[in-house]
Formats: sequence, C-alpha cells, structure tokens
Amino acid sequence: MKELLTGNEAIAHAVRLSRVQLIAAYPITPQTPIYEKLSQWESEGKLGGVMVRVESEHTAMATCISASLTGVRVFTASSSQGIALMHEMLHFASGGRVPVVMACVNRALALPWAFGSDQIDTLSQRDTGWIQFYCEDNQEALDTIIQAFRVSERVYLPSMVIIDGFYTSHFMEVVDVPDQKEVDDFLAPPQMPNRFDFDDPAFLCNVVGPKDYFRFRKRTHCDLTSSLKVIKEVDSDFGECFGRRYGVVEGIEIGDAEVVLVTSGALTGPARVVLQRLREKGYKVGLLKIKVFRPFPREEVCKLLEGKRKIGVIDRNVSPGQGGIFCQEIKAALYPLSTRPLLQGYIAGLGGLEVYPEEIEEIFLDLLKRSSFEEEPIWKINL
Amino acid sequence: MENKPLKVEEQEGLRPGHYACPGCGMAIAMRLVLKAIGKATVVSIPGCNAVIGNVYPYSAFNLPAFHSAFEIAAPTAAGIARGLKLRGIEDIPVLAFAGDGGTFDIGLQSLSGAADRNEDIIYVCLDNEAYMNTGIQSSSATPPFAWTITTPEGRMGHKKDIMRIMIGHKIPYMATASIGFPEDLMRKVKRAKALKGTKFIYVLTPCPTGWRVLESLTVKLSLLAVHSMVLPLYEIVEGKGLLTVKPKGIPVREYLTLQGRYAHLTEDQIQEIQREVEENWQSLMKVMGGGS
Amino acid sequence: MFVLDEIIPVSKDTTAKLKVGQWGFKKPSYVEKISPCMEGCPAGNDIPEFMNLVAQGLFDEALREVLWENPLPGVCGRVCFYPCQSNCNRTNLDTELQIREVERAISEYGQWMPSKEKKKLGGKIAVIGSGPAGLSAAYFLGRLGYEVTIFERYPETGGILRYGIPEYRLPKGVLRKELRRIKALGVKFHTSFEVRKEEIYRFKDEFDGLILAIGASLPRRLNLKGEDLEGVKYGLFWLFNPFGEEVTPERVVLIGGGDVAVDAARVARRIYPEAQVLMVAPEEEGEFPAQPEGLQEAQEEGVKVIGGFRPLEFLGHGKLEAIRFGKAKVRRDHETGAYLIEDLKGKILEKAQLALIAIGQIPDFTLIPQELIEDGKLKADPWTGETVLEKCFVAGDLINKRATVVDAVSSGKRAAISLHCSLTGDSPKEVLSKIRMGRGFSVSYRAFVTGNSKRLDQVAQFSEISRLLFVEEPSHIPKKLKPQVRIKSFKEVKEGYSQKEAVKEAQRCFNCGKCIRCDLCFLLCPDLAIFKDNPYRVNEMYCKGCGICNAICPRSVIELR
Repeated sequence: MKELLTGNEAIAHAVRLSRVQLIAAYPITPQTPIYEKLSQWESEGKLGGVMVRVESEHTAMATCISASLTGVRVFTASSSQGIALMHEMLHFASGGRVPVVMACVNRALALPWAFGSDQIDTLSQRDTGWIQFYCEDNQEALDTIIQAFRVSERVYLPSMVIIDGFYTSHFMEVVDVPDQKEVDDFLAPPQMPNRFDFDDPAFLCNVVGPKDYFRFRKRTHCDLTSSLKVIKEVDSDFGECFGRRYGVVEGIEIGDAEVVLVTSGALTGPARVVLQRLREKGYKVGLLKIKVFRPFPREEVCKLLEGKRKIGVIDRNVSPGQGGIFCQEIKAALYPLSTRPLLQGYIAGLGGLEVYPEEIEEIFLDLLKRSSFEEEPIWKINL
Repeated sequence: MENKPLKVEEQEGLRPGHYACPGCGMAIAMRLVLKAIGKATVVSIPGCNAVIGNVYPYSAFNLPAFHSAFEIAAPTAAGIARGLKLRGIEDIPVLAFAGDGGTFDIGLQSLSGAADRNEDIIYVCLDNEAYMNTGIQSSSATPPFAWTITTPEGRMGHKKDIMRIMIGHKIPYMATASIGFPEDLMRKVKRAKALKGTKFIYVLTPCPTGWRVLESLTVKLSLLAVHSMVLPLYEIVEGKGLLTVKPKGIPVREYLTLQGRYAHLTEDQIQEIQREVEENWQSLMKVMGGGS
Repeated sequence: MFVLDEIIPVSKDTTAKLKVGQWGFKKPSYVEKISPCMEGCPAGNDIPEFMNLVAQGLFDEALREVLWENPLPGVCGRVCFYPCQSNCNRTNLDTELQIREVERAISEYGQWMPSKEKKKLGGKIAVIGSGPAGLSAAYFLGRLGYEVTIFERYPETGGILRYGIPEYRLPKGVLRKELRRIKALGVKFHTSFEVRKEEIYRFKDEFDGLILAIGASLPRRLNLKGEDLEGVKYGLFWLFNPFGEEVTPERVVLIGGGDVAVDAARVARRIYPEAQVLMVAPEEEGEFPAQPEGLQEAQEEGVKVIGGFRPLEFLGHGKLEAIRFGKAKVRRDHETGAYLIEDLKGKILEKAQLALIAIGQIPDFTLIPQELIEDGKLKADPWTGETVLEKCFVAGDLINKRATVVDAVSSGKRAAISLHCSLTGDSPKEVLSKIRMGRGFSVSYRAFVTGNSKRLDQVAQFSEISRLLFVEEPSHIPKKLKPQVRIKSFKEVKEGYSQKEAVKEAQRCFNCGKCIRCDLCFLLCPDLAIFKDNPYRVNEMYCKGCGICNAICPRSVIELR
C-alpha cells in the first residue's frame, strides 16, 4: 500500500514486517524516530517483537549479538557516535557469525560536532566484516531491510542498511509498503539454531591460538566475499516478488558514456537529474551508483568502468591523509585493468552540507574538461 | 558451619583440568556456583574466569557457555535470557561470571543498565580485588592500602561499595557470599535461581598470587574475612535485609597480617582499616534495619 | 547450510584430559591418626570413632566400638577421672567435650553383646581377683578365645567397684550389666574363693596362664599414737561395710584428701544425718588429689573441708575422743607414693568419735609367691605385667602407680595381651609397642586383632582452622540432684544425658584424626582433584598441590607429601 513516509518510518515498517523478535536500541539523532516508532507499536501491541531500551549503543549491539546466538531475529539502529561506540561489538558480530541487521543513519562524527549526513560513521566500520548496503531513498531503505534479513540469515554475517541522515531519514516520499503476507512469503521465519546445546555442551568463542585465528579469519573473509552471490540472488528474487530490484551496483546510461561519475546514497538522486540534463545537451556521460560497498563488487565495477576514459567519484566522506573512501576502493578495484581510466576524486557534502544539482553539474563538467588527474581530491564546496 | 557432613548436590558444572593457579579462590567459587545452579547457560568474560573456562578446543564447563567481551557480562546474559524465552525455553537460567574489573569498573555501566531493566539473569561477581589476569593491577575494588603493581605504595582511596550501588537499583535479590561458607553460597545461588529479575551475588575470592599468600590459605582467608567483618554475609530480598552468618568479631589485623600485599602496613593504617570495617558494619546494620 | 564449528570456535573437548597435576609436586594423602583424648585415655578408647557414631544416634554401634577397648563403659562413664577430657582439642574453641558423660550414655542406651573373635584358642586361664583389672584381663582373654575362670575371695564380684565406690556414684545395677557382658564371653566366676599363695603354684600347672589382679588390699597406716583406739578405722575398708557401727558418732573426721576420703565422707553424711562430717587433708585446699567434682559435691552435701593439716595424735580412753592435727606442708612422692612432710607452726584439736583414715592402699604381698618380691617391691614389668614366674602376669593396683579404675582396665588389657603373646611365642614388649597409642599407657586391642587402621604413633593436634569454621557452643552439663535430696539416700546423684543430649554433645566432637566424611576437602578443592572413595582419594592427574585440603581439614587427617 502506498504511504507518505519518511526514511526512518519506512525502515520501521520494514522491521515490523520482517517479524523481528528482539530490538535493542539507544536513541541518537537522526535515528530516534525509528526507535520511537517501534516503541509506539510495541505499546500498541502491533510490533510482535520485544523492545529492549538499553543504556548505550555498545550494550545494544551486545544484547543483539547474544540474543542472536539463541537463534532469534534481531535488529538495531544507530548513527555517528553510537556506531563508533559499538565498534568493538561490530567485530564481535561478524566474528561471532550472527545475522544481526542494523539500520545506520549516516551522520558526521565528532569532533567537531555536527549532525548532518556524512558517510564517515559507517565507512569507518568497513573493516569490521559487516555487509554494507548504501540506500538512495526511502523505498530502497524499506526493501533493503527486508532483503538484508534474508541475506544475513543465509550467510551468517551481519548487515548494515545505510541511509543519509535527514536527507533520507527525515524527508517524506511515497513508499509502497508491502503486505505482511507478501513479506512472509519472501522472508521465512528464522531458522537459526540455538547455539546453546545441553546434550553436547560447548564453550563458544573462547580464546584460540594463532593458527586457528588465521583459519577463522580466512573463513570469514571468504564467506563475506562470496556473499555477493547471495545478495544478487535475493535481490533478483525480491524483484520477482515485489517488482523492484536494485542490483549491487546500478549503471545509468553507462553503455556509451566516455565519462562516468560514481555516487552512493542520497546524492545519487540529484545526480540522476543532472545526468538527464547533460545527456539532453549531448554530453556522453554516465552515472554509476554503488549500492553494495561490502563485499566490494570489484567484478561489476570493472565490467562497467572498463574502457571508460574518465571516472569521477563523489565522496560524502573523507579519510584524513588519504582522501575519499569510495574513490580509494574504486581505484583498488580498477587496478588490475590493463588500461586504467583517468580517476578523479571529489569530496562534497561533508557534515550534511547541501550538494546542489548545479554543483554536481560542475563536477561533471570539471571531469569532462580535465586532462590529468590529481592525487588529492577536489574539495567541492561553494560558499 | 556445623560440625557434621555437608549436604550438597552431586552434579558438577566445572570440570577438572582447568588452568587456574594452584589454590585459586575463584575456581572454588565457580565450582560451587555451578554445582548449585544445575542446568544453566554460562557467560564468561575476559579475566581469570575465562582462563578457568579454558582455551579452544577445550572447555572446563559442563554447560553451554559463551565468551563475551570484558564490559558486557550483564547484557550478554540478558540477551541470551531474552532470546531463550522468545524461543519458548522458560526454565534455563542464564548465569554471568564477571570479575571485579568487569563489575566495578569497565562493566559498571552495562551492569547498571541491566539491573535497571531488571533483566532476568544471575550475575555473579567474583572479586579478587584487582585485575589479576593481566598481572596485578589495581581496580576500584582494591581495598585501601593494598599493594598492587600499579599501586606499589598501597592503594589510595576506598573500595567501591558495589552492594550499596546495587541496593540503589532496587533489584529483587542481592547477596554476598564466601567460599569459606560453601553451603551458604550454594543456598544463595539456588534462591536466586528461583526468583525472576536481576539477581546479583558477590563473592570475595582470595587470590594467592595477587594477595601474596601461600596457596593453601585461600579458604582460611575467606573465613577470616567474614569473621573479621570485612565481608559481612547477607542477602537482600525485595528490599529486606537478612544477615546469614553471624561473624565472630575477630580483629581485622588477623586477616591483614596473613597477606603479603599488606606486609608494609603501619600500625596507624591497620587501625584505620579496623575503623573503616566497623563503620561499614554499622551502616550496613542501619540498611538492614537491624533485622537479622 | 553452515556447520557451526567451522565458522566460530566451538570448544567441546573436556579439560579433564589435561594433566594439570604436573604443575605441582606436593600431593595430599589421608592419614588417620589418634586424637589427644585417645592418647590420654589409659583404656585406649577410640573416642573420635564412638563420638561419630553417637552423633548419628547409633548407640548400639557406639557401644560395640567402646567394647573394643574398654569392657566397663558404664563404670568408667561414671567414676573415671577423665584424663581424656583435659587433652580435648575443643577447649581451644569453647569447652571440652563431656566424654565421660557420653560414654555413660552409650552404656545406657546401646545394646551390644561382645563375642569371641573368630579364633578359638582353647587355653585355660585363671584370673585372681574380680576388680576392674581382673575383669578387664578376663574380658580380653575371653574375647581372644580362651576359657577364663575368675577367682574372687569376697562373696560378690567387682572388687573396688562393688565394695569401694558408693551406690550414689556407681549403682549396683550398672555393675551387673557390665558383668553380664563379661559372662557372655564364657567367663566363669568362683566367688568366696580365696587363692592362697601356695595354691598359685598348683594353678600354674592346672591352667595355661595366670593373671594376678588382687589389688591393693591393705590400708596405708599413719603409725601414730592412738591409731589402735576404738573408732579409728580405715576409709576404704569402712566403705566395704559402713553400717557396722554400734554407736552413732556425733562427729566424723576423714583424714586424707583423695577420692576414697571424699566417698567415705559422703557416705558418713548419708548414714549419720545428725553428725558433723569433717575432712582434713594434708594438701592445701585446691590441691586435693580427689576429683574436683566429687569434692565439690561433698561440700554441697555439708562436708566441711580443711586443708594443710596432718594428724599428729589420736586421743581417747579406749574409744576415740579427739584428734590433734598440726599444720604442715605436704608433698607426695609420685614415684614411691610416700608423703614428704614439712611441719609448720599451728595445731588444732578436732573432736571425733569416728575417724576414717584414707591415705592410700598398699598391696598385700602375703598373698603372692615370694619369688615375685624383691626388697619389699614387686618384681614385675609395669608395662607388660610380666613377672619372674613364667606364664604369671600381674595387673591393677597390685602393680600400677596410679590407682584408678581406668588404669586398672588398661593394665588388665596389657597383661591379657602379654599373656597371650607368651603362649604364642611372641615378645610381649614388641607386640605392645606396636599397638601402643602415642606416648600414653594405652594399647589398642582392636589394632592387635584386626591390624592397624589409624596411625597409633601420630596424634592429631588442634587445627587452628576449627576456630574459624565452628560456632562456639559450650557443653550441656547434666543435672544433678539437689544436695538436700541427695543426702537422704544413696540414689545416683548425677542424672546423665538423655539420648538427645548425648547426640548433641557428640556432635560437638571434632573427631580429631578421624575422617568423618564431612566433604569439606572434597568440596573446596579448586581442581576437583578429590573424589569420594573410602574415605576419599586424590586424583594426582589434577592435583596442583595447593594444600587447601590440608589447611581446611579440622581433624588433621590430610597430610601433604
């Protein structure tokens, strides 16, 4: 049924429809409406799951992980400082191979304090072994949450479903909220085992020696890498059930483009509009949206970007001392190509700074006329 | 204690062959707690209790257990407890073991949160009065004037009163226990098992390695701690206090002079410790409302 | 589908495979030993053993236990001077165990008849004298399988037990019960049968062995002027028949400070209710050799006591009228039993119509063969009872330095075992030394028959940990009749424990040196290295040698090697 929802509300609906059994969360701007909506439904008896109002995000993730060990379906949500605080637990979740799903509402990390959208909070966690989905809009957020449960419970690795703070979380859009029955047909009830077995008791996750650590880490890496296949399958299945599919990356007008701009998250929206405008003017430009960041879709990226003359990457984040993180990952993915395109990184929108279509157009035009690339990213800010 | 054979369960939750130091008080405490609790899920965190649990692929627990992170014994147990109930498993208690570091210091926040939510767990704090697994570093549970490697002149400051903190949370059950009184300890564990909500049991577990005593003196020290009123043994059930062992009132000096970590004490310091013990006792009696 | 233990560490191997016992070299072992009370008991009672049985309410088994070492629990449970109790480790916590009272309770509430040990030896033994030494020797020889006959010169059996200790301390019914048990072993009694010394040689041929337990049947005399006046008697012999006086005295004076003097005084109080009874002893008050309890009871009953005076002269014309005493400092030589006197200034004159001298007894050597005497002393080994005559042994007050019932029982046992050894070709001294308890006078009959189970040469000292483990709880002292009631009859003065009280008192016993399976070591072992066996065993694969078990055992049973 079509409703006018904010991104947070859409996520909340998805959690309810996914029949999550336990939600442990802690409030932080701009995630709070998710927490509040779920609490409201719990008190109205509409939720079906149990809310645990914990005293910190670190505890929220700890509670989710340990509940997940018994085999129940769990969810949490956080942003910025909260995600940073639960960093230890994020490693725990992936190493513990628990299928926790977390909604991350991007927000800048202090210091300095700022509340607007910035991808640094989730990208800082890119080594923790979580699957990361970057969503463009409210509909995608809702759909991806549902998909994430199915993916995680298949591969036993946790997932983050990431949206932009305020731009996606608080803006209203028309969202098609599926029926409970439709979701039940797509997402079966949890089949995970209760890992605490009394007939054959075991001490789970106690200290290992270096050899075993090496072995388990390799296994986690391999499983995370091969989960891309599962992600694609689930996405394809979702498309069949609900008529919407997203792919792990989305190429827009890439086929004959010579110059491609790479975006992620909410920025993709205005980028599409600018792309259309420039195409109409006759520029051979294309747009690549990266949805799945971990595992990084190297093959898909290479296939789409091979042979292109110039690539620009807009990062709504910066890794100080290196540059934009998406740019860095794309560079690494393209490295094996025999002829590498010209690659230029652009940093825009940090801390929630508005990125107007005009600025995106400027980026496109800069890329088009550029003959060499700079190691340093170009800081796109119009004062 | 009475001068006749003890009556205890046959089952053992702890297996022999674990890696505790010889004479470890914590091993005795864990064995007694696990003996009393029967079927349960165990949460272990970094510290001596995990060393006792042992390393992969061995387990010293006869029960399913999980090795969680240092500061989250309580919410880990809570998550498991909630998960089990959601799966329809109602009658398996979840037991969290934590040391003094994981309770008084780094774990205090998460313990407080769990107690505030009245999570249905049994939390057992095994206090050896310092960070012993990592060497002998002081914690907020290290008593005044005690030597540790990070407080070589003796610790300044007081021992944090964890029981009073837990009293402030108004949880349904909390108790102190000692390995010198095994039947009392086991009875308290069984009582906690029968109740719903957050149950907090504090056990003083002498550490021969860190307290600098002969390993054979562990149980004797526990008895001295109780009888010199350093460790009053009581329980608080739904806010009502009950003393479970009447101490003999031995001077605290007898307890202190056995321990190498107090070898440097001056006469003034001993008197000060005696005064503090007596003050703590008086204020405990007030809290208990004189009921016993 | 994922296999869980491929993706996370799942540890199922039991640590019970790990040999952590290799970390330490000290290992504990269970070594049962004797207790200080056992060492102090001349009869060799295994006190921790029977205390443990009483603590469980098993009076029959406790009686069987006592009867291994002491055939006269009913007697000793009333009249013994309880050297066991002064050694009791429990005094370090609160008060000593009332061992004597519990022994009495066992004899009252337990039912057990002893029988011969399996071997039927078939020799014939004669025992001369049916006092405690003779009864004890007969009992043990009977148990060993011999046919024993006791010859007693008086009309009734028991010796001192019947004739010398008054009914209010030792009722005759109690003695009867003890005798029944001895008769159950097939021991025969010939009363009113005096064996003259000439007959002893004949007995030597007719019997395979001989035990002389004729006691100390002559009074020690003062040798003072007037000692032969009418009215001057000797305490113990007066007790044999106190009713034989024609004239009721107004004043009775006891001379002496021992148990016999006390008993004679109390009997006098009972049979002469109108008379004044006065006890004068050479020792200072507070140092009388009598049992303090008896002395106190005597004073409660109205006996007046004066210490520090010795008799100088008996005054009277044909009949006793008064006694003159002089102040003196007196010591008794423990070796010879003689009094060493230092006279001081001061005299008193005490009127009396009846004087009872009770300063000790000496054996009547005219009753035994002269070969056994040398320089006026009996030539015999006080430990084994061996004499110069082959197959002839002595026991009891005849040979003992300390003239008490329990010492008589002890020497009777030793003489019996020595006699048996001489018949089997073993050396009595060697055998006795193997079954000796600690450094005391007692030997263990049970150890002799069954082989040692405890270490008889090691005594369990007080375990300091008991001060911390156990709550203070002093003994319950049994009730006594009120003094005014007591002197009206010879009814037994002390009530004795009820069964419940006996059990409660026995539960106070630490059972030093004996493992009662309290499970403390088992439960408090951090490495689960102790498991229940008989009583426990240590699994050296896990024992790290911390020694907590050794430190926590309140009975000192665990030793570290």
